[in-house]
Amino acid sequence: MSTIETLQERLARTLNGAARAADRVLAAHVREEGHRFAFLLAGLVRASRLYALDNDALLQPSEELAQTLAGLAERLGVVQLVLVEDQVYLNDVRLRVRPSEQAVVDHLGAELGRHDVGGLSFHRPLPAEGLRSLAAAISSEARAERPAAALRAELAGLRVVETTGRWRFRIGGERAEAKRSYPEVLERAERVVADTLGRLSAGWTANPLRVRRVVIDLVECLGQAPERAALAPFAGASSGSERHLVSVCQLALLLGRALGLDEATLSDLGVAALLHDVGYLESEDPAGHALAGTRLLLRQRGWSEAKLRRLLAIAEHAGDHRETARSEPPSLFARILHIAEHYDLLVTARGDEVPLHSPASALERMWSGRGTRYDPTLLAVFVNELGCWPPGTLLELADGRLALVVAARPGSTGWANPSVSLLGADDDGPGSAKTPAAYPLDQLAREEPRRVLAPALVPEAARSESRALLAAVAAQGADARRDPRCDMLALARVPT
Amino acid sequence: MTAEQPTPRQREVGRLVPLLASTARAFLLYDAGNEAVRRSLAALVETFSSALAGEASLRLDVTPFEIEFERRRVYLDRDREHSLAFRLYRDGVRALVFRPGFSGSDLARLLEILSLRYAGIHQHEDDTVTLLWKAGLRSLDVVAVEGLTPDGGSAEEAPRAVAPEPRPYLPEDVDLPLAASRGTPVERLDVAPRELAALRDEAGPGRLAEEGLRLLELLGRALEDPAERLSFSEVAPLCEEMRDALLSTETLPALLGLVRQLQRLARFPVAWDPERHAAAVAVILSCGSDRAVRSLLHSVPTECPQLRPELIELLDIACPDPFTSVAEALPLEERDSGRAVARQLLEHYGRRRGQLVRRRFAVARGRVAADLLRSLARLEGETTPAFLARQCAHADPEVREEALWHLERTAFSSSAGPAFVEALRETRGEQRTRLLALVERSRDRRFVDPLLRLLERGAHDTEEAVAIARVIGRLEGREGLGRWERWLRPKGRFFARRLPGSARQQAVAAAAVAEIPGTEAARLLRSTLAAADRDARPWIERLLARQEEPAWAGYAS
Repeated sequence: MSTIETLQERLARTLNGAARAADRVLAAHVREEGHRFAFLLAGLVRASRLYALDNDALLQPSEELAQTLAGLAERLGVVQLVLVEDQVYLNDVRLRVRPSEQAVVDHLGAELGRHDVGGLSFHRPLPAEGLRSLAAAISSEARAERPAAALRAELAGLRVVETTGRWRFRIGGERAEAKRSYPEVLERAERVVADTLGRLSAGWTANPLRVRRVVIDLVECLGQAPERAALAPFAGASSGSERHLVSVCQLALLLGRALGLDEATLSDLGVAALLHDVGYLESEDPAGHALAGTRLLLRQRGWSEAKLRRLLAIAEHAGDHRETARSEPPSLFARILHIAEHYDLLVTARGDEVPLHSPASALERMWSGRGTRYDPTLLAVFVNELGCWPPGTLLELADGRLALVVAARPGSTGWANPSVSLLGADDDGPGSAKTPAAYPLDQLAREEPRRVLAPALVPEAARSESRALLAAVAAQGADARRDPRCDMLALARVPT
Repeated sequence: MTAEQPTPRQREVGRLVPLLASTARAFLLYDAGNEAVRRSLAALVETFSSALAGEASLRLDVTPFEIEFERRRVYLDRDREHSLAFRLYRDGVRALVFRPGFSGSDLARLLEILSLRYAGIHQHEDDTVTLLWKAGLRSLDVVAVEGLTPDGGSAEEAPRAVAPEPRPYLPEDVDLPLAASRGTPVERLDVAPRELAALRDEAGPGRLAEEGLRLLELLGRALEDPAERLSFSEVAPLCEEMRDALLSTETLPALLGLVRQLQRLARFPVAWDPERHAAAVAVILSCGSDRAVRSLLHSVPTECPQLRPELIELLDIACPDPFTSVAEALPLEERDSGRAVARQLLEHYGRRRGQLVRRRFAVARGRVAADLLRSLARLEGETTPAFLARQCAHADPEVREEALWHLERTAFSSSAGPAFVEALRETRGEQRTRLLALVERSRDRRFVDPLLRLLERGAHDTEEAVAIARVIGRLEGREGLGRWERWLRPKGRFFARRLPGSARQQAVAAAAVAEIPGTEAARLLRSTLAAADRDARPWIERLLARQEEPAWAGYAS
């Protein structure tokens, strides 16, 4: 078979698959019904300027619009109407507008534009009454200040309508986005997660594309400095759900990368991780949240491999590796999430409490469930990546000094010899923006550490210094403070 | 834009980019196996390798309607639906930088992505930028921003939606992993590369169907759980998406698995979801709809055009009238492999109802009629040599070809004689030659008279007439010598001796005689040459030359 034929065959296979998933009949339906929807909406907005909401003149068109919307929502899940310049799109399908109809589109665009709004997303069908309210809100006078926010507030009662910004195609003078720093990526990740949780709790559909973009940034940041992922439970600005989800995502990426998963699969895994606990929006019952999360995300329409894997991972992530000796283990993503999630929960504090475990003892706990609760191979890979004293572990050295593990070191020799920073060292001082230098453990102490300090036993000052140090290391990367003089310094500090 | 003349490389890129755009769209307009697509792809590969050969990278800057190379426009399409530039721009792509090393495989991946982005309704999962990133093309850099740009208003306000409800929180006992127990000291264990590979394989595309079924199984349990009160309408869209994704011969077992799960759900009535049975049955039936059957046939791999038992099982469950669905799908299927499986299905379902195939055949035309004839021929007792021979006179050449193919592999039956004669009258060219070969193989002398009548009709050229005469000569042997002599005995005297009749009649008679064994016939043939018409001589010379060949001797014996 020639190269061209091979290419042709491969493309045919992919596109046939895609064509099966994206039915042309559906596209034609969307185009036709979308056109009807946009024009009915434009008509209703125009009519609502003339008549009161309960006027009979609005009843029939609003009923018709509600029916059209219901039909579209049944097929598409979310119905997204977007106006860009003189164009109108419904769920990425451009609606064909005849020249004689252009004035209607322009009018609808102008009506929305007065509110600084460029589109509407309907997350569920809306009854005729709601559509009449929507039309009235759009046709009403726009606020002088923050008009988009005012319209959003007005539509909040409808609960299913989302307004989107006004868009245009900028021709020139635009610069590509600079690469974001890791703290910026983390901050954005938490913001996107918060927004996604908010949307889901409002009964809206998640936007996995935004989540994926964040995950891609994370994959790239962690690719440049993989040691950061191990510090994820201690990184990031906020706490609570967002921190947990972003942390689990990074730990899952750490494990996935160690397995050798390609970046595309890592990004799918990362999206699943960021959304794995959304079930708690619906169910406070830990036993039921996995299924509740799957149900929430089932609302997203459209076939994609990533979605399927994500749904399965979320449905299975709370389950053990082997519930019974004969049971099938959960999917790979679910097993990875199970490990990443439990590690994060064990090592991080809830609210004002101290964490349950130090990272080292968390791993020991988990190790005891190897093969039953956790996939034995995955856990072994995880442990190999984190080392026997994972980042965040506070060690009491033989001479009584406290050393905080700030990074795992690669390879079998580094496994029990992580990079550590001394607490209370005078390098920069605790709480300083600059952080003490990090050294391989064996250069600070010739003997084995006396013990791993349990979080409850760590003095408050040391705890806050550890927190600051870990956050700083996570932000800057452990390499940034690996002191070139470390060998000499370490020798100088080793007690005789 | 510069007003200068474009450099050769700019001209080359000027050809490349429109070709890239048209090829990406071609996959949506035509079947990927189409010849036009192949040509377009070949031209694209050639232009790409030439544009990247020995040069540094090739940067294409994307604006809403144009693509530029070295600040010169190399592509313009203002139609937003068709424009490659617009598709890329909308997704945030601002430049594509192709570097040396960009391979044919990379190009295929790029085309896949561009083609997918031309189509599609549900595109919230990925855009061009994320797809290109996921593709991991090492020799293609993408300069991108995030989608569209807010126009006016508050930049941070415009794209964000603020949910009207408070954010969720994690309960205190969220996913608490373990009851308090003593830990076990961790060890560093070397993980064998094959163990890692096995885990990676779990995330490969080969496991997707299996994972889909697992998910449905989990949801199926929830659908039966009164505590969950899960309605089938929540799951139905996923089932439909899975159905569409699995509508391929390669994933038939999984599709069948989906149908079985749906059957189980349909049989499990629940009070909280009275619509379930009807809704589940509707999805089951959609797995055997006409569209589904078309997709399944279209996906049969070229290298394995075999009917799989799973397909029969699926159609038995999901298709109310499989025979009709397949028969309706057959005319729409272009690929040989798909048609082969369709024929096998028709044979399967027509086994007890052969008259259905026959009825379809009676009204079918062209290639479809040929396919149906093949199915009929394979159905025991549905065709006879006479029936097949009659089809040699069919109006459509595809059917005649098919009938001949079968006749050539069937023992001759004298009852088919009249049909053969009829077919000889109706066919021309190569098909008539093959028919003549069949007639000759029959050794049935009853064909002589009809063949002579055919010759007398004279509606064929000399070559065809000669072919018919040769068959007559072989069938009739020495007994026919007298018939031809009258055309081959010269008349006149000395130098004026000439054969009677036209040059065509002389050539025909000579051809028949040439096939008659024995010295008498050979002598007659040799004696004709000098007296033959000038136009008949080349024919006779060829016949004489053939008589010298050893093969002739073998044939005669």
